[in-house]
Amino acid sequence: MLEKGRISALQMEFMMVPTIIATGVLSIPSIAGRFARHDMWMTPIIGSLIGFFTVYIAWKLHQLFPRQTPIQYSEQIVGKVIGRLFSLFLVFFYIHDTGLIIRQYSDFITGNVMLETPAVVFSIGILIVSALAVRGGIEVIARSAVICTTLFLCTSVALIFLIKDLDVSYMLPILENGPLPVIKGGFVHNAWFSEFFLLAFIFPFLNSQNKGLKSGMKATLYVMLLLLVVNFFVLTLLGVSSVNQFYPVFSIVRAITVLGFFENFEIIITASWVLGNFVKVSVFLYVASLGLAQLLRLSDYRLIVFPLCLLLILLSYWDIPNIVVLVDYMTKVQPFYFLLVQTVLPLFLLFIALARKKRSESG
Amino acid sequence: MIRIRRQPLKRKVKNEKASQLSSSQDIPLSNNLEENIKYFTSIYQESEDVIFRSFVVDQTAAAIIYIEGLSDTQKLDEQVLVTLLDKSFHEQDFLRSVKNQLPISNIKTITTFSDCIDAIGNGNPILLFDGFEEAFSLGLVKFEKRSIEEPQAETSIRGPREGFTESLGVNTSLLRRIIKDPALKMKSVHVGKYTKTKVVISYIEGVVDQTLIKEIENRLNRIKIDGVLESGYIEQFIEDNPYSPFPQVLYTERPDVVSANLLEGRAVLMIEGTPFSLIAPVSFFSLFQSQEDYYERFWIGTFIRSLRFLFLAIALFLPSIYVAITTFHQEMVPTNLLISIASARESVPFPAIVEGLMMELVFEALREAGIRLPKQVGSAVSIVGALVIGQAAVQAGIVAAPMVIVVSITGIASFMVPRYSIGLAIRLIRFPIIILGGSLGLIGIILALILIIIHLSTLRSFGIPYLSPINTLQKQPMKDTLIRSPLWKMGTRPHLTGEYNAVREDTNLHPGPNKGSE
Amino acid sequence: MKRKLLCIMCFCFPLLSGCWDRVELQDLAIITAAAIDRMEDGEIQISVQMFIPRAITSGQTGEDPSLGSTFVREGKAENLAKAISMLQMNVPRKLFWGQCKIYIFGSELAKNGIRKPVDLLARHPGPRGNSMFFVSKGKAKNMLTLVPPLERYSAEALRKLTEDELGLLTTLRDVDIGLMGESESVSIPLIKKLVSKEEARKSHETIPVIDGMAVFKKDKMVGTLNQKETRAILWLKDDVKNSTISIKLQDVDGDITMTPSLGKIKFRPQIKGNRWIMNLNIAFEGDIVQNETNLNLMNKEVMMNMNKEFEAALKERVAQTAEKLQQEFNADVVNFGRRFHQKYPKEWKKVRNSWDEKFPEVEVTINVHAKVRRPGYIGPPVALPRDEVRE
Repeated sequence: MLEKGRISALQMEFMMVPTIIATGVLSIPSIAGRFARHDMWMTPIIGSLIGFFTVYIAWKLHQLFPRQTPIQYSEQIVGKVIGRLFSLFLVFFYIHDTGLIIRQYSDFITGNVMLETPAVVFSIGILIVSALAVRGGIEVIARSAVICTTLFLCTSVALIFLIKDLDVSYMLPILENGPLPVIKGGFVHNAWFSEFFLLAFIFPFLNSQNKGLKSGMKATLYVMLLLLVVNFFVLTLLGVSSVNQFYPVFSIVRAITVLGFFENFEIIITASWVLGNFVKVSVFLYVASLGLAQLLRLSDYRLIVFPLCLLLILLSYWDIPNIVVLVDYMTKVQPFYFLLVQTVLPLFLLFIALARKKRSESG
Repeated sequence: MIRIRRQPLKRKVKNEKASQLSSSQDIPLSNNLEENIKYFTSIYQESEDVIFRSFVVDQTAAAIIYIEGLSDTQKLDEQVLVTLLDKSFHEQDFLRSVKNQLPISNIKTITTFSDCIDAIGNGNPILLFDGFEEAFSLGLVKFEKRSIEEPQAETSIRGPREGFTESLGVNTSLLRRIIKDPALKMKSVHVGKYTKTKVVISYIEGVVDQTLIKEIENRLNRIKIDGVLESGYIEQFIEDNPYSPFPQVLYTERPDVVSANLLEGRAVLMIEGTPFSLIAPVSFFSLFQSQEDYYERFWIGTFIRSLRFLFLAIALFLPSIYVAITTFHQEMVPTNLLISIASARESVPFPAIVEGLMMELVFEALREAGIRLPKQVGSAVSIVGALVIGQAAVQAGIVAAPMVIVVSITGIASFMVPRYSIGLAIRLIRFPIIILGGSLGLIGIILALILIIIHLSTLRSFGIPYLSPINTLQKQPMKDTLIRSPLWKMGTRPHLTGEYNAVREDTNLHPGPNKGSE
Repeated sequence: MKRKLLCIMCFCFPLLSGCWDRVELQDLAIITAAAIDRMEDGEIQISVQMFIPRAITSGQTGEDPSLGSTFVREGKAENLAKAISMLQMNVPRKLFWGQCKIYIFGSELAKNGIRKPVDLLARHPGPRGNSMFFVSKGKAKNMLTLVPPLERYSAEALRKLTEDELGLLTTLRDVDIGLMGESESVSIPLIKKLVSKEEARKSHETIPVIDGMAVFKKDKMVGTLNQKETRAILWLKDDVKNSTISIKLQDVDGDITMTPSLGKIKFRPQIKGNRWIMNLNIAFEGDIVQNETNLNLMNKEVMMNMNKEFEAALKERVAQTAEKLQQEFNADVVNFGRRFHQKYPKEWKKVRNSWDEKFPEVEVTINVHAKVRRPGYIGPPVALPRDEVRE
């Protein structure tokens, strides 16, 4: 066991909520809106079903193999060769995903807030900070996540100031085109909700081993509610023109005025969003380095964190040429790809594990 | 360098006792008074204040050795010498009869040279007899010391006005006056080769965790230095992470603060020669508590405490936010304010970040100069500070008026912190944050905030995480961090280390008019 | 040793980063308003009003107050983006759009179509989504050169005027949504220079004021509404704040005027067969502010009578404007289309592409319910002897 720290279930919730939302809140409204139009506020509800399902799968696998991460027990389920292949695939998947996240983060900031600075500065910035947190261990990540998430959610309360500008009639007519667009829009959410499989890497480090499922479900619920609220605000403020924009949440935040005096809050919201993003990158980086360390049978995952960061900086540049391709990728490829790796393959693992258990019990 | 290291509390007990004296080993006293006196004379050569008084007691040669100014010569004369010179003692059991007849409340029998030297050094006169291998150490310490006065570094409006003094005996007595239960223990240890400073570890048995006490003792025994002049020396040798700017031990001059912490299950180190005692373990939030929060009612306590956190944020971030906003994010400022700031900055030749750093440095210099000033010059410096820097520099167009305002507000905010040690940490951290804010804007400030949070998350103080109780988010310990719950609701003690005795008070203590009759 | 090297590198990182985005305040030209005109040769000219920060410490330098604290520069090219770069070449400091809240389009440009300039305003990260749009009579640049006596710069005066009457406020977002939505039309306030007849002041020391509305269909201006019609539009948009309604009773000399304090409009679209009907239910209540007649307003019958007259007056006003919108302009600036879409999505789908033909055919029925709450402080008309007061 490379990690000796233990965290509480509440800390886990605090960690998981920004992990899912941080980049989701950027682009989900526009992508979901493209499919569902007026009904896009309902799409997180559909998407969260995948979330609950993935949490359940992770929990079941954890119950079969307590105190072990998927890298470790996949070998026990499907044998050494296939298990190691699966672990390799999973670890590379997470590394790739982390690179994408960093790309989204630096793209957003250089596109909207700091226009002249090259994106690599921000990638390096957030990676250094996350690497320091990851080297501290999961307890450090959890503790800093608690504070960062609190700050992140508190500043998001500023959305309340938008209430007077809402126009609820943009929601009508409800379900104009039937439920299919809503389901399509909800399907896009898979990419984010299936990331709850990260819980499989965190469950082994919980203090009390039986609270994991409830906390996981609670976290999924919070994520769903938050995305619903965000989508609702975007829809009622921007109407259908939200589909045209790359970052609709940023546009609505730009419109917040308090007492006619404090305007242009978007920098503060962006700053607190960076806090949420830090938690996300830390968790992903932690899972990636822990997974890689376990795969390569290293003695300490901390050695591999900084080299991994170097690789990630390169990865964040290499894969996607520009934001249009990124949005395309998120609409067409990501839902299926992420669903496959994080929900379907673990489901197979679970079935095989259960089948084996039954066989060994009866035989 | 941020050293990320998790150090859980060591549970193994090491039974080391460091050798404390480098000179005289544990040589036993000799039978011969002449030899003993010769040995002592050679050790105390060229020290005129060490007085040797030889006399004869009932046909036995005897000598008293003491240090002038450290011993009570009046009592020595009136009670010891008079008794010894006048009375006669039993022949057989000479020492015992002397001991029985000496009207001194504290007589110890010592047998080694090193013990004698310790005793003399502490102000206890030594009584040596010819033909005996034992000597008496008479408890007649008296030296000039400061009287108990109001602590100057920690004043409060409401609360006792007694502060510790440099004498350890007075300090422990002040503590005993507050906590009368015999569960209050005082263990003592000596640290320092030349100063042989007595350090008292004080704790309430049954409330504190014993592993904590053992750990403290271990760390104290590991210290091998020349001298301990102040509690700061000890603090810097026993803390968990010496590279961190944040203090991991709390120091205080007030006995009521010490008692409050003792009752919560912490341990106190009282060091001779300084009124500042150390309290361990400490968490980040206990550094923001002042004793007055508890003496006033809970609304005020909560309000002032929340205000402290707000001003902590201001003290850390205001200058860098100003620099970041005026150079990177000008669209955030309301138009009229921006126009005023732009007009004010029109004539300033420096970029905002240079101006900010300059003003902060000047402010720090003013502060330091203010501490060292002789009283007569004090008013001149305040005039210089206010007029020259504030007024004239702005008019000459060297700094902009908004910057002066920002720096003054920051200065005031940094004084809101009740514990000076963490105020110093905040002053220090402000500069890197300004630099980061000036180079990356608000994003840089957020990165700095994250770095601080990560560092605080990895810090431990004697085994407890620095950010307790936020890391566990349980309801009971949180009652005393950001807000101050009413005293009748704080039923449990904070969980410090290991097993602990949780219950502090009865649960049904809500005050009300009709409660007494039940 | 390696750790120390790493430390030093990390420490130098923020210092060496060069701070690409760092712009000192002294190097910024703060733009307070922008005017976009179309010149005779088809080129686009952008003029910006920039603020001159005077150092406070310099005190009174005795300069001419009529010059004001802003100045105007322009840039001309074949499209807006190039014009802006031309403009930047004429300005020694970096143009800063973050504080610019007012964009004025010249009437020539409005007639020709505003979509292309608006595209830059929506796409460029500088201009903000909630900045206000105006159309000016004549050249927009002339609005920027005005120096208000009360405010610091003319854009501020314009902004305050608009914020008072929110219904007139049209932001970039509104224009985007309006032109993109079902009705494909939007209305933008029209401004003109307020001619000041004060003798002590020069002719340019005045402010731009709002003088009606410009109606846009598919990004071209198709007509204007005068002040009265604008009031009616505000009623239709449910955004009335300051308004007065006067009625004239039969056999009585003089008007009675009231200001509505609470006004609500409810839209009820209805489709009966092939007839599309929009029912408007307007309810308002208010107080009487002026009584020019000799009627005693303390009288109950008089008050009841007045209610009906007020209802008729408002009905006529709204009907007139609605007709003008439907027949003359064929521009659905009040979003009838959207309301039909919300209630009857299936029927809307059929006519969506031919809303232009359907809109003039929509029958508008107006139902007004007025309630005069109070006659003000006094009942009978003031300063009239008792016997001349009619009950």
